[in-house]
Amino acid sequence: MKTFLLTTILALASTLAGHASMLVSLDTTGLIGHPAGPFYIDFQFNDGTGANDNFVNITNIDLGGGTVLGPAALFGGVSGDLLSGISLTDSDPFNEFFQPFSPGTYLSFQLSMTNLFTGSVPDVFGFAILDGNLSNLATYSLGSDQLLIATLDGTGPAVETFASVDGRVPAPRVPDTGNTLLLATLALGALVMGRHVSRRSLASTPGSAAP
Amino acid sequence: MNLPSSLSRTLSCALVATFLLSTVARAEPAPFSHFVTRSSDKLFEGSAELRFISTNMPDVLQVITNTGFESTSATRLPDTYELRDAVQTVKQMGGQVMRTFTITAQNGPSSVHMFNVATYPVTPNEPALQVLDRLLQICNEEGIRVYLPLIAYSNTNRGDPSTYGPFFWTVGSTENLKFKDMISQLLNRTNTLTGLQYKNDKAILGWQSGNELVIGTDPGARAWLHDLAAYVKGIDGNHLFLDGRNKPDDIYGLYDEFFADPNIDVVCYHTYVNLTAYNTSATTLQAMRLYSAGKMPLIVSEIAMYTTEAALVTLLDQQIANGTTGSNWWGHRFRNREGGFYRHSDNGSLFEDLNWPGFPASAAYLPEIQKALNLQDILASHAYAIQGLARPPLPVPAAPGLLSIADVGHISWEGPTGAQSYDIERAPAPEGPWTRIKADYPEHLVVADALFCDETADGGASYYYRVIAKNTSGSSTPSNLAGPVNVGSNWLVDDFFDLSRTYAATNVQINKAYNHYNYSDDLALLTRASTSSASEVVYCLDGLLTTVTAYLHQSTVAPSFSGSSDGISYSPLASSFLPFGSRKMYFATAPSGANYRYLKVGLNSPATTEAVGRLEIEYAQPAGTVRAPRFSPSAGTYASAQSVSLTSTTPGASIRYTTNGSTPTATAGTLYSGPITVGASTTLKAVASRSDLSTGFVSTANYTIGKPPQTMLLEAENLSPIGVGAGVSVETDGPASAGKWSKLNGSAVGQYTEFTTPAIPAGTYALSYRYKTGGPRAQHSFALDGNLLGGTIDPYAPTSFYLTAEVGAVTFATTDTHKIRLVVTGKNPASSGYLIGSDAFTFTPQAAVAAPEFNLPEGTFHSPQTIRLNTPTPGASIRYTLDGSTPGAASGILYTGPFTVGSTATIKAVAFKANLAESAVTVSTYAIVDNTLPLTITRGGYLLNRRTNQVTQLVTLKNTSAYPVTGSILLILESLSGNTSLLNATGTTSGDPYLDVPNVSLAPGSSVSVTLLFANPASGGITCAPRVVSSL
Repeated sequence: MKTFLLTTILALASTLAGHASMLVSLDTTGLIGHPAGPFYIDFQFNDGTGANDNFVNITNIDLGGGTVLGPAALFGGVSGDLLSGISLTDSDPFNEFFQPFSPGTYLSFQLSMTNLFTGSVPDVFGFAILDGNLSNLATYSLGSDQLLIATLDGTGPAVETFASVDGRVPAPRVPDTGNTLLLATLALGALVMGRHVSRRSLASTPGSAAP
Repeated sequence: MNLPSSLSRTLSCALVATFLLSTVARAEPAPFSHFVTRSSDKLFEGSAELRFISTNMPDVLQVITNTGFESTSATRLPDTYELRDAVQTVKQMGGQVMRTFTITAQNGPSSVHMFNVATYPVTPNEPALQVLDRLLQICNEEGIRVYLPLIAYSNTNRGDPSTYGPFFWTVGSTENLKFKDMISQLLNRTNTLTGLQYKNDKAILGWQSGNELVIGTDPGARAWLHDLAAYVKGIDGNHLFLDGRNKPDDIYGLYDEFFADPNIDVVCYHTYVNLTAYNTSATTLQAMRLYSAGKMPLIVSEIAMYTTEAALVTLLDQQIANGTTGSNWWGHRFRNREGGFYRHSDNGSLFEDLNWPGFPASAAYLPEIQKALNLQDILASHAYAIQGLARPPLPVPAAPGLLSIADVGHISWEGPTGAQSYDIERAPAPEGPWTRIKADYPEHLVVADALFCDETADGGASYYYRVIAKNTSGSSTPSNLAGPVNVGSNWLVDDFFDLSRTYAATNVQINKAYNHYNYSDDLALLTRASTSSASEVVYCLDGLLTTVTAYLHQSTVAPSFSGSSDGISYSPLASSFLPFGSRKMYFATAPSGANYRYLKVGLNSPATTEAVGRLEIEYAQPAGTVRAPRFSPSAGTYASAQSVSLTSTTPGASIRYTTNGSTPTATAGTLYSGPITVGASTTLKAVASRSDLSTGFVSTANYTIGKPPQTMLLEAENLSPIGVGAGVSVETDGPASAGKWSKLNGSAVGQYTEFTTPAIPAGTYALSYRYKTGGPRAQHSFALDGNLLGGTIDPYAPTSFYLTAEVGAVTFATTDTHKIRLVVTGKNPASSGYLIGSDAFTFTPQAAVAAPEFNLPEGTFHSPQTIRLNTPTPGASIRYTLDGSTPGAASGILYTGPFTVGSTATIKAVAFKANLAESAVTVSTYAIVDNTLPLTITRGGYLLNRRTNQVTQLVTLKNTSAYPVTGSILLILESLSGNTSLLNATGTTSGDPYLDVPNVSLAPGSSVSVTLLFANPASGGITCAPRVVSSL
């Protein structure tokens, strides 16, 4: 039984554009004052096979009343921080960013990425929260402990979201735009306007995600 | 084996004998209550009549067949162990009374004779007399009586009249005085062990005049006998005087004056010949009994060994029925203190003395072994029957006495009386655990050396050994332990009971017989089959050759030894020899660093009578390796299909083999599960493996099936010669082959003569043509079946003689007749005519090309395979087929290099070379199985989990077929980058990790996902090629 719900909304739009954008939001109330802190926001964007041809931009980062606690750690093709926004490329096999923060009531950011795929293993983007030991909060993501996984398979991207196993962090939300026709329209518009296109993912719930 | 080890074993015999004496509880002597007395024609033990059926123990006073391979003297004195075995043998068979051979005497000093009669008084030899002391002591302990002949009628080795001198038969002569002095010293001797004078020892039944005396009607001899009896009785009134004759005709009708002699108690004869008037031993006995009845007891001192079982039963039944007092079978030989038995056959008798109690386990080896068992059963059952008793079961054997062991190639023991076979056990420590390395081993087959070679010993190991004796009543307690024995060398000992230990054998045969008088009674020998071609045996060792020792009988020509590391190229080994009577020991040592795994022994005698009795090969087996498999029957040429068994002496080893010339490994090749039928000429290669040991050497055996073609010498005059254009005739000429030749009386070009051969078997032959030269000779061509061979033959010469032309090689696909045509093509300018003189045509079979070898063992594969072919014959070409047909010289695919088999195929390959017979067919089948499942693999990206420090990848498998996929799903990661590993792998295959996806049933279109967990690489990315299969 799958532990998550998957959707590939905006497939048509993304295919046409080779580019995707979505607003990701997360309720972080459960982390406030949690003894496992300080927590880190962690992004990784890893190369699959094929050319180094994808990148991810994370902008409009809103900590929901929280604050940044220290400098960011950058690995591989990564630049930026939580205050200025972050860019990740698939220049290295593993590219990662994490930075400590004081949780507020929520966390949101705009996630934009290209979506090119030519090999057998796609590039993948992951979003996780690390605890004070730099360990991922355990989630229902089948071993990777990610809250969100975006697979750049050239047809999606396919986005999956997962809640934390201890229930303190629900699965991130991506706005549901209602139907693919509308999304296709928005995507066409985005092409014209050069703006980001949002898409939705049906997040898993702790109950439905349990094995 | 070497001389020091032989010495060691000799010393160990003494040690074990001491052990036995000190540890085996003996009954206190139980002296007989009575001397045996005679009344009329009966003997009595007290008031009870004594009647017996028993045996002779000829060697209890002197062993005469100490013919071990390295024995320097066939004669020696028996020891206590041997004497007790002799007496207990008589006891177990119910014999009651043993007859010895004669009191030994020599005209001069001797360490093994009881008296030196060169002197007067005669000189006693105390060690030899103490043997009789010991024998009498044991007879008293065991309750067995003995009677002893005083002189042999004809036996210069043990002592006969000639030993004393020409006037032996003359009463009052010096010789007679010496003989009487010997008797006086003997009868008056005081036993050094019991303190009894012989003349007062109740274990002695009596003194026998001699062995097979011939008295006849000669007055001097008859007077001599009366005088002797009186002399003996004058010294020893306690014991009987028995008159020992041979032929019953020497007694029958001639004995009245001896019946009347009060000093003669018993008359004895032997059954080698019958009374003239009777034609069986039983009717002769009946006549002899009737002749002596009421006058004197009758004893058959020797029942001839060349009787049938039925005749023996009749004879003994007759004895029991007619009142004959006793009989003694000729004869029994007792156990040898160095292991096994002494054996003895009489020259020309074709029969062998018996070893008690007979050996059912090896009865099938020779029919005489079964007969020996039958004879002893008859003797024992009648021995008890004459006493009114039923034969009891054999007693359970006592524990054997294991001799100290210098090396694992030479293990011997002193067997207990009544044992019929042995279990041999081995352990790493004195307390065990014990492993039975040989069961039901028959000690009597090995005649002349150590009984057993532990061929399963692992090089570098250390063992303890023990032996358990068995017979039909049960098993003994284990013997004493011998050890620790450090396996510095491995041994292969071949006693040539068969050729199973050889790797290959050419022109040899096993000569096995029960009575090998000329071969020290060695049961089984290796000889040349014929002297017309080379004879050799080849051994393939499990290690590297160190030494080789060959023991030959009747040897006049040294065998040759040569060693090889590859079984192809051999280098000679220098050998030396030591003579031992009619035997010679040849030995050689491999040069240091030679790395010889193969040993070839060539038999070079000009006669087939020279024989190898035993071959001992010492070699070094790498420690921790499995013993290479052996083939039975061994490699060679056989007329018909063979069932070949493979064995490795390493317990628990599995064997894989190939028939296509490829090299098997621990995992490749056919797993051996039972005998292999070799129906056509085949090369078998086999290797044994065990998981805890290193895989051993690969063994190879070449089998040629089918009668090889023979050289055919065809006389021209016998081939129905015809002449076309000219007449033909058969001429006589001494130098011609078979004395005749065929003449074409030609006169012009174009005339020809033609010959028709008989059917010639299919094959490749070199054809030669013998012709007669001369003045009026024609140049001519040579054609076979219409095909010209060779060039023009010009037989012109001023004088006549015979020449042979090699006209070329011919190949016949089938067995058929053929036409040879000689056509006149011209003449030498000097020639005066056009005659053709044909003498003979010879078809000589050509050796075959070695069969092609495949690089890959047969088997099942999951991907296309690359096939390479090879032939060991330089310059040979290979043709192969994929359609099941057999390649021919011009058919099939010419092999030019490696090729790929992408689907299941049977490949047949044959090698060819000009002027050689085509090779045997090598067949190899490769099953290419596509076990790939109809699942698509969708791979996710690599994600790092900092909590687990693992990289994960989600893989989704989707059924794209129209049918459900059920059963095992194995996800194999081929070519996984070396910077990581699959942490949740179920196992590996061919070095690749795989994940066993739990049993699922995937409906068409459905999918299953699994997460791969990789170790976080220190650097670089992860790469791999996943593949899904249903099985490995």
